[in-house]
Amino acid sequence: MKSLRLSRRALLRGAGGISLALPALDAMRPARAAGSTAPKRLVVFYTPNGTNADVLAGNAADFWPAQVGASFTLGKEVAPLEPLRKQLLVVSGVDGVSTQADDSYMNPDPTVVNHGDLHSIGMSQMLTGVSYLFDAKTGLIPGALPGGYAGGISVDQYVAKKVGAATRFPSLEFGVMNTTDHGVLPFSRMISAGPNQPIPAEQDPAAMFKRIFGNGTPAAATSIDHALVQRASILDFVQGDFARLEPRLGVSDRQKLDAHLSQVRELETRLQKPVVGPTASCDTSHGLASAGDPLDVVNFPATGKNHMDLLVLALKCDVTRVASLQWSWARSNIVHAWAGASQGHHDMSHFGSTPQLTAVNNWYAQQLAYLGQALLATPDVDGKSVLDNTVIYWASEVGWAYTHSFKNLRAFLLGSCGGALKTGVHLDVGGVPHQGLLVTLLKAMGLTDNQFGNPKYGTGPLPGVLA
Amino acid sequence: MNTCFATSWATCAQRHSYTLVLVLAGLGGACTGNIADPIPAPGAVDQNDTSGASLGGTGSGCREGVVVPGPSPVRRLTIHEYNNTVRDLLGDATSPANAFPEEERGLGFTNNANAQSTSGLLIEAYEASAADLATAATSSLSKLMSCDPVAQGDACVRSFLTSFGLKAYRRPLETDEVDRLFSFYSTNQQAYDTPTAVRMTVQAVLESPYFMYRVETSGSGDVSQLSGYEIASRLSYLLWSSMPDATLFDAAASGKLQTAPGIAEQARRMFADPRASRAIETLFSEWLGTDGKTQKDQALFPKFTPAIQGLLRQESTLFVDDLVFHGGGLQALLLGGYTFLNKPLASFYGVAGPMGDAFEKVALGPGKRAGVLTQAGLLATYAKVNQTSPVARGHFVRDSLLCDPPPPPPPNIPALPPPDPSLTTRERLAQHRSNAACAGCHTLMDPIGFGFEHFDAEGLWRDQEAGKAIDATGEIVKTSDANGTFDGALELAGRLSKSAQVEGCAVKQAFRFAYGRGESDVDRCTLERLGSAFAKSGGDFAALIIELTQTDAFLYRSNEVSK
Repeated sequence: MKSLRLSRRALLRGAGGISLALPALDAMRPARAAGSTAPKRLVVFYTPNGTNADVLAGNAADFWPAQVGASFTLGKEVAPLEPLRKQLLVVSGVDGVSTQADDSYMNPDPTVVNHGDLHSIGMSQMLTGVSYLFDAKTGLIPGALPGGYAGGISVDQYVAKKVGAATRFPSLEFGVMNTTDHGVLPFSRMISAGPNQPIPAEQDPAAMFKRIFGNGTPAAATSIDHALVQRASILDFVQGDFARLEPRLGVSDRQKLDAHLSQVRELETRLQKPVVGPTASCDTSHGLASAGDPLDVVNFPATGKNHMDLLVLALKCDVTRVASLQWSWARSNIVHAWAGASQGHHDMSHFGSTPQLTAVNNWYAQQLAYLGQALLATPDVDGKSVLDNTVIYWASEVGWAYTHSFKNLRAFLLGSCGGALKTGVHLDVGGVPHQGLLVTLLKAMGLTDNQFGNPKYGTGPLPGVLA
Repeated sequence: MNTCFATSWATCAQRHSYTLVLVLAGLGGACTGNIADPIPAPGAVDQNDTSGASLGGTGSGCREGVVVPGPSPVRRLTIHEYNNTVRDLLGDATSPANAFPEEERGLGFTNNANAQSTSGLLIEAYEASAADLATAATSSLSKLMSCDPVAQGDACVRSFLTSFGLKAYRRPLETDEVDRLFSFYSTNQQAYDTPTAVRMTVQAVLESPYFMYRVETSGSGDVSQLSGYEIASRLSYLLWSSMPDATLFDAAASGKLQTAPGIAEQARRMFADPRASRAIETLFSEWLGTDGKTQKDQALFPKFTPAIQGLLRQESTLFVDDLVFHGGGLQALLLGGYTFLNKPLASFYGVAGPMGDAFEKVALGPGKRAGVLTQAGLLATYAKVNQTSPVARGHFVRDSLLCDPPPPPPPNIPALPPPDPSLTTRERLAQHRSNAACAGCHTLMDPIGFGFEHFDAEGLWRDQEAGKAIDATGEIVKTSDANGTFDGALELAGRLSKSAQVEGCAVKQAFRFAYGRGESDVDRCTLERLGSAFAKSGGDFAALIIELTQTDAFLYRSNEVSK
């Protein structure tokens, strides 16, 4: 695979002595034969405010199947996933043990005045498995509500570091309206590159399309793409500025600028990679339908659909193997009028079980089903579907939203990730810290790590979920 | 180590080392003198003078001459600052930074240095913006450059790099920096052509850390004084959310920013400039949350359209501008008997008012509204989709005005009774006080929020809810000096307006905005100084903003150990 790509690209020397590979034209690359090994992909699909399934009122089965094993019934909230039941793995008994421990009421610490909002805590722990950052004394890094940004790298970014070099983008973050009513706060961000390094999602599908396919359009194979060469020269010069400045800075300032510098470096590397990946057969000519202002809530469904179509295209074209789609934000209170709601999502979750809330959560399940079915209908290079070689983790920051419970966190997985995971089954793991779920994702992606997040909360994947 | 405890940092520096002006508590030594004394140039300082006298003291616990600036994290231009800076630098009014990912906030502010994170998305957006700006700026070289680079060649380019570099990096370039930029230009000039090479060089400057960040490297030691140019940038971003102007650059070059009075003089000049409203509007809207957005149930509140929300934001902005720039201060913020309306907004409020789209200052009738707390934009922001939220409104007062954020809600909240249309909001929240598990925190919020119950979820006046007369009585508890009962928002605002805790909180919020970080124990004396100036002025924000340029946190910076 690597040699094929290298043999097809011309190495050119541009102004300023920058080596630059021309992006390979899709046509230059023969489609890979069926039977080749397909890449594995990880997708995090986030929807806010947990589930409406009310354990006390006895309607838990709206979300959690009453039966374990292969003959499970999908309840009212998750029924749209029925067509994908063969690709679906439902795991109950995954608990946010470390998340619960972050809460001040469970873990009173007299030196700490305010711990974070529970949605904030849940959001920061969900993909990192470690405590969020907080310094009550200095007020360091708090949001408008108490609670800081995540305290470690998120699982998708960890995977991206391991597998990302193979594609143009190590990861792509898609988002539908992630800014809260009071700006970007800790519960707006679920992805992070490390402690206090939250990563934003692109909220505009048109901008994302341009980002993925619009820049670095392949030039004619025989000519130098001056625009690309010039960009590389400039980025190279700018890196020199950083290198000259950094020794003059203190530790934390240097870290901050170093994070900037490494992204500049990555961008320069990105320019040298083919626009589409080595395994791709890719047609981007359809573009995207216009969905209006992506930050206007009336366009929420259309924006999300555009993002999902683009996400499917990105995986198909092999521009990345790690992606996430974040709908709204933790504790989101937007009104899902298109799903029949007249009240805010978060407000409703505290009124107990209501048909409106079930309808909103069902609408989100429909979106996941749409994405899953689109990937199922997309053939992969090994003759299977892209979904077969992918795992989509449907995540939320809390379990049962009504009580902000971190017990029984949502753990619905779609796709076996190349046969790594059991599917078509509901398993009850009986109370395992959610770090086990994160390790499961690493294993599914073919990594050997046996531990992720806070090591205090165990090692190994969730029991019995790997095929 | 040269230690010095001066009654003025200026004199201290005069008598001692320029680079070790500094000074940590407990090290002994002292200086006395007139604060207006200039700091001499580094060469003129007697490096061997280690003399010192006894400690000064004011009795407040904050010793004169003990310089404690607190942390000085490097700050990246915010979206707002970037847009203003490229407008002032290049005349480009396209606000390109609006395409950047929105800033992560810290303590509610978009300029919190500790919350600034970097991502691939952001860096690509920087690159795209720099490319667009450079292309636009070099579309007419004669406008950008005062000489002709084709006819006059290298000398012209060098002179351009020197003058443009000064403005873009907000300091004079070192010779080797000009050389490096020139060499970059030359290589590209040979590879392409002159306009392309100028464009690439301008783009490189706009992607440089010296442009994107407010880099401060002057001095060494634990605490150092800033260069005139570094002070100029601190002033311009505090007061204008933008780069320095020519006058400020001149002041930096001529040493006028080496004394506290010289800095105050510039601050006063800048505060009187219309550009000051850029910063003031950001400070207040992010402090009070008037930049927030909210959704309402359109069946219940058909008048509350996105257009009205925009006008409500404008109302708050104009109100704040007026009380900051034309006097009124904190008292007017809380109790001002006037506001700004145009015809659509007057109609939304259901009052007589201006007949056109232009906003006009309007006196408020007695008894119902006064001050920002009774403006519908703020009231609607801190309310639910379909009903008021005494919890959210009380939380806002507690968090933003008293600087005493209540703890977050506990897990496993006991079941609330289902919404009952025959009950008022106040009645439905009764359990928050009757249930001991809730009451601990909710007594901090709900009884404050009840004061706003005459204002419905969109901020309009109501006399009844669920067929019952509104009860807007409430109580403030657990504050240092605002405790007590009240009836309605005006009495509540009256209590807050007399509170030193509220006054101190306003100072803290201004501190957070001005210095891009949260306050901590080491900032006690800076806060004390600000608080005393603000109190002495009767809560005048102009006095507070000027005083923000006179503190240790502004005049000095801490160096981290690694240097």
